[in-house]
Amino acid sequence: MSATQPTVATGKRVPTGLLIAALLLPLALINLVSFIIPVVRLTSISFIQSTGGGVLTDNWTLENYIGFFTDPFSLELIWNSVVMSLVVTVGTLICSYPIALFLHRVSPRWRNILFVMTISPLLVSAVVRTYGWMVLMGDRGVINGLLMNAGIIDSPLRLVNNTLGVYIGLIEILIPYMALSLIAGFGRLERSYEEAAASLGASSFTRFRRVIFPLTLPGVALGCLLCFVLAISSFVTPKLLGGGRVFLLATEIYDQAVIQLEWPSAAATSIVVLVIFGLALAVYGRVSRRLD
Amino acid sequence: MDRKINRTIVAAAASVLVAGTGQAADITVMGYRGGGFEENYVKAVVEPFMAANPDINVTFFGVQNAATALGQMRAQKDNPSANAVIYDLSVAKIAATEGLTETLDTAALASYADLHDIGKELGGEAIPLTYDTLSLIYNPEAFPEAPTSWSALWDPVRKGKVVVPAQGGGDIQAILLTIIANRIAGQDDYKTTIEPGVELLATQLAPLIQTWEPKPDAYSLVADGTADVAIGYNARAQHFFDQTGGRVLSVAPSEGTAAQINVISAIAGAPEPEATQRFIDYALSPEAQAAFSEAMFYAPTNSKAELDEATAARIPYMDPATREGLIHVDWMTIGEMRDSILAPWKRRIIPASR
Repeated sequence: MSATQPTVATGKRVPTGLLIAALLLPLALINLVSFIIPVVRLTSISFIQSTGGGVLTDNWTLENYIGFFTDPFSLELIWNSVVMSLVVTVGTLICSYPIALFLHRVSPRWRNILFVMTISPLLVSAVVRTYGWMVLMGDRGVINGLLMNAGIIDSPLRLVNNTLGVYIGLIEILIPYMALSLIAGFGRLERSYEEAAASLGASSFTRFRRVIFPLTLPGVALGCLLCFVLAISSFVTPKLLGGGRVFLLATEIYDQAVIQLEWPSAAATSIVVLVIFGLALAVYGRVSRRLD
Repeated sequence: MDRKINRTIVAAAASVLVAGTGQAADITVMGYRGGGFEENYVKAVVEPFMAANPDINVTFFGVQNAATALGQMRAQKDNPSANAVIYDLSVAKIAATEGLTETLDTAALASYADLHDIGKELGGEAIPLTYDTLSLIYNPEAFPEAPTSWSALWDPVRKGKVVVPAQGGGDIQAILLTIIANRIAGQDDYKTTIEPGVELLATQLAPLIQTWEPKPDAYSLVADGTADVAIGYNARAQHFFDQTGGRVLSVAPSEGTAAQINVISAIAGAPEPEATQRFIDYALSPEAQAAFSEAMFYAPTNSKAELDEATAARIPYMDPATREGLIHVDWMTIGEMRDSILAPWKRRIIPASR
């Protein structure tokens, strides 16, 4: 019996290709029904012509895409979304890296407990956590209350209902995802490499810059991809913490579909976001190949 | 004894047979969920209707807003699961244009002739069900004297305490506020230009805004003191007045306000058209209209609906002077103008608040 020719209990040989197909079939079916077909339908809606007030017609058109790319507001949305996602990704990385490094080094006895603590925020819905931030950072929230009672400020700081609130909320929500990805990618990091560098006279900063960080780059790349995609598609947190001032691609899709009733425009914007996801995946693919 | 048992069995079988041949019709009415609408509508209209019509079973299906209702109608175009829908007139215009509504024979509706003329533009496709007005919503603790003008929204002393719901760049409330601001800025006809109104909102209102996306809603933020003043609909403000022990008040400002019209439509292609029509007829009747007005403070569209004085006093639309001063909005063309009125909100008004 060769490794590529597995058998079933009866001893009858099952062709490898058939076995792989059988194993992939459930996932392929789920993907087909829950992703491929809806995306095809979405794409077809994006080519439907609509008249004033969002009335759908039976005509096909490229207007929705032309309108998107010729409207400076749409380009501002792409810029806002990409910049916000990059800032959130970098912010999440900075906050998560020390946690992940500590978890990687801590004794196994403590590692499990601390690991569970790190990912425990995932047990609470992002919506609930976002409402929590609203309570903490609102004009009459805990933070402003403490600062005002201490006499440090006279009027409340604007911590929510703006971009800052969205950054804080998203970074907190994404930290467990980044930490998990980093820990998963820290496999190549061994204590002996750091000791070797130290024995050659490298300072702690040099050890981090030349040894630790390069070895953890696969985890960094994975975490950054995950957080970038989650940030650019985030909708609830910008809606709740942005105060209606923060316009992003994801919020625009909701607004176009639900407020302006312009389904074809919403579908076209969704396809643009899908293309940005594809680009992010392509960049990740190139980066991870270079890191390997 | 045996005979008694037999009689019981026969009686039980007969009752089952009668119930079985009764053929109760099940219909679903889609309408607003939040702000007490669903709860009050079921109590004031749906339950009395079912009591009077035991052969029809009505389920109220609550949705977030009129746009969500339209989304449901579009998605279920080929196989509608709801039979009737309660939503905004401007959204009904879109649904009617897309062929999503059934045209009812208004002559066959007992109450149609008694309805006021406002909101009858779509005939049997969307029949006016409730009238409401855009109001200034304020917290009485922040206003020792009740505000009487829309300018309370752009009074600089209210900086950071003003809420204007303009979710996603605004919807009907934002459209109405633009039209009102336009008049205050000197341009009476919004079809000519809305520039003066936009300029007023961008330069004077926007810098004072706390949030354009109040959570959970503007009424709650005013009630708990997070905001001093906001815009909202009178009916919901009255509901919150009762819920919060009077911490939210509503006023129709002296410059005039505009009406918001909810209509009811039978959904095209839905089953049970006869039962649906009977429900719609009942919903338009004086007793159902009065009952819902007393529960939720919408003005009735049926001219024969009689409200008690206490209820009427809390509905600006019932005041002849307020009704006289209503700013006319042509909801049939607002759909086409919707984009041009709302475009400045995302591009100029809201960015001016950053």
